[in-house]
Amino acid sequence: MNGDEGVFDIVVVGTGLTESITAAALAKAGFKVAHLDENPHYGASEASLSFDELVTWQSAPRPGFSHFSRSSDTIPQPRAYSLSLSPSLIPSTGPLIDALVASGVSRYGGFRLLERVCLYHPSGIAKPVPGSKEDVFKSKEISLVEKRRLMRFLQFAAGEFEDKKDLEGHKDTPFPEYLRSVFSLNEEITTAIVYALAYCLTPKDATLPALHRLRRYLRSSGRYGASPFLIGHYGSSGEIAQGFCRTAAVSGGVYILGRRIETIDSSDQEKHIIRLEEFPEPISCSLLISRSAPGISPVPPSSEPSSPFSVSSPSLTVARCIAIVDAPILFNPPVEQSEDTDSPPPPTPSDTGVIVFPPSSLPAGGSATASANALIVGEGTMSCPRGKWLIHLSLPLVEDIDDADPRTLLEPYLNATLGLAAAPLVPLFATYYLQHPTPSSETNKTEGMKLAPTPLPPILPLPDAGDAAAVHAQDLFWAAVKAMGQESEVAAFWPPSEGQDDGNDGD
Amino acid sequence: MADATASGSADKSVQVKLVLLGEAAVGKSSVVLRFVSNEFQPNKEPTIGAAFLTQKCRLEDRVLRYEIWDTAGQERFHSLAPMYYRNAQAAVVVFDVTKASSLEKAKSWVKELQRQANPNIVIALAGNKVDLVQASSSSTGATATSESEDEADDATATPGETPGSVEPESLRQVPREEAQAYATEAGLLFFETSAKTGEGIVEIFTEIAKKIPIEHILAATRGATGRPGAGGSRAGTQQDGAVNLDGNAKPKEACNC
Ligand SMILES: Nc1nc2c(ncn2[C@@H]2O[C@H](COP(=O)(O)OP(=O)(O)O)[C@@H](O)[C@H]2O)c(=O)[nH]1
Ligand SMILES: [Mg+2]
Repeated sequence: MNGDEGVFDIVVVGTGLTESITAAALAKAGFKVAHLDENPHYGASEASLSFDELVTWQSAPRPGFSHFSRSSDTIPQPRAYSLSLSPSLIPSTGPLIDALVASGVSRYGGFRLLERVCLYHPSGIAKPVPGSKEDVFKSKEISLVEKRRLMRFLQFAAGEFEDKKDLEGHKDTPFPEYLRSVFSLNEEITTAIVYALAYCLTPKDATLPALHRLRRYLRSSGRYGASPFLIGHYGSSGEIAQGFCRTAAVSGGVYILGRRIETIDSSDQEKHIIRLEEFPEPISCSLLISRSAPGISPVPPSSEPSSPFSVSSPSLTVARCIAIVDAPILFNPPVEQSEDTDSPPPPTPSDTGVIVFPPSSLPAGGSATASANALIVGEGTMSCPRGKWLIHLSLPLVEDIDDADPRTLLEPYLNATLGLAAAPLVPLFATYYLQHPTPSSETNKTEGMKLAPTPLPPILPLPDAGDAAAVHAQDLFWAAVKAMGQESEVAAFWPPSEGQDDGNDGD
Repeated sequence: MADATASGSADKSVQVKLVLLGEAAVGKSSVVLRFVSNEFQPNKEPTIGAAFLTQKCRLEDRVLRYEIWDTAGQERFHSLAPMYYRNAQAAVVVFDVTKASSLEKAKSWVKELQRQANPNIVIALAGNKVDLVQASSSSTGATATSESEDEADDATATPGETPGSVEPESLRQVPREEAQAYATEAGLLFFETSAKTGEGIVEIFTEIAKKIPIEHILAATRGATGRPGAGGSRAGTQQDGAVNLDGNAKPKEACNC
């Protein structure tokens, strides 16, 4: 690099989803952006890795992750896998979908609808969850009285409930307790709503945020299909992060991956000087956006009262497992399909599905205080080869389990999931790990202009991570625009009409 | 859209994702711009500013629609994302005939493609800036990095119109035969090109089009998903479930070729 090639308006450190969306928006707004990541891959903690990349990634200490274990270091067709480090679902309407369409990043990726959601019962079966009012109406399992109560609740949850009497004094009530006491719902229906419709992590989750989520999910259904949720191809978040990074690059952003940051010198109030390992010239910028550099304070979450994203949810450590199997997990079909028959149809394979394990749903060995999820994806999501399926398990750790072993915690859930296959199933591969909240960086004397993205908690309700990242990115974008003194120049998060353009929008 | 590549569209043209690779400043973006818009911008990096560019390529018996992905500068510090290579059915690996080291870089990009990309990918090697080693009134004495002609000249300049003039051999660092030998050995198409004059540009894209196994691509991607071997639905899956977030945004053509 020579001349002013190494001089940037803004340097963004880390290619997680929040940072990648922010970098794309800033580059599109005309700022000269350099985007760095010490990892050799895009996506940071939300990356999607090939099998070999995963093995390499686990072979060194990773901040925020611990307790790696895996059953093997090799697998046939290792490159045909996109293994998501922290998988999530995408609601069909919401800030992430808006950002994908408005930025044009949706052109880079394919998406699939989530086909099935089932709730695991201690009896060892997974029951389909009615996802809409129509499903409830058709269901033969629910008594007429319960149906009426449930319909009343769903109507309430899909509407403008904020000022309704039914909510008065209950915003912080644990959600299950609220459903039982205010809507008189029975235990089974309460469990389905709390964990399989609102994706609460624990029975203590508060009512208001749960209602906000539920409303967004109910409103998402029908946009692209019956299911409210989408899954991105190739591991979803990690691939989406790559798409935003490419968009930033197309708008002039410079990308440097796989170089360790040696020093950041902020003694000059006007600029930061960043030295990278094995990199000839330092790079400099006016504004530094980084989670980890000292003296950086996170952007406060948007204070909008209706901002319904889990920004304030408690940060829990999560135990995760990724397993690879070569036979499908069978799902009981949705209620609607059993309409004309007296006996429910047999369970069938599905390319994408979620099994929700409410607290105490396993006969032995499961958590009594938190809900676990199994997200199952097949070749249709492009994240594994034909004839293989990925099982992504996650369990938030509510108690302070000092030296929790993710394998001990999750093996019962994996076995329960495998038990839903047609014949006894042994995984070809399984890896376990813990993901921890990032300690909040202490704010000391601020030298130069710095901003930090609000970190995503290690676990959020399954459909929330992407939307939370998009909301954080928007906050961060405006904070950066303000810091750069360009508020009067920059009109929007994404330039208008961009989403309608085709690929040939160059000059 | 990456996953929509190689699928038949309404006008029966086949969409093919083509990626560009090569060292920075060898002329990748210029080659695309010449092919797509028949333009050249001397002395400056052409602004692509788009996710990808599309260009039709007509052969005797079929029409291909190239979806051309430029590196957007991510090649500079070797930071190309896996997404870039995914589902690419063709690649143009560019080097600069006046810079020997750029051929070595091209070779390493070919290796990277063989590692990262679809095994059936059609790869073409382009020895670009060949105008600089062909003597003509305007480029005599010019160096690889200082172009001073205006665009009107560029548009009309045609190589080979100055018979009898001597190649400024001093500038050429990669003999044609050397690159050709490497290409033959590695199974690549090879052309010398000039984004400035247009020499070899249409040819390279046309020859690639001839080598693309279109029938194979169409057969493999009958499903909505587009990845060869991944489309279609298995017994048991009730419907395909693939979703296009902005399916109504229909790309327009750049121009015809
Ligand atoms: N003389 C000449 N210059 C070229 C040619 N192709 C590109 N250039 C110039 O080389 C420089 C780099 O080109 P660019 O397309 O940005 O290269 P990229 O980094 O590989 O995309 C620019 O100044 C171009 O004008 C060519 O065929 N002949
Ligand atoms: Mg370029």
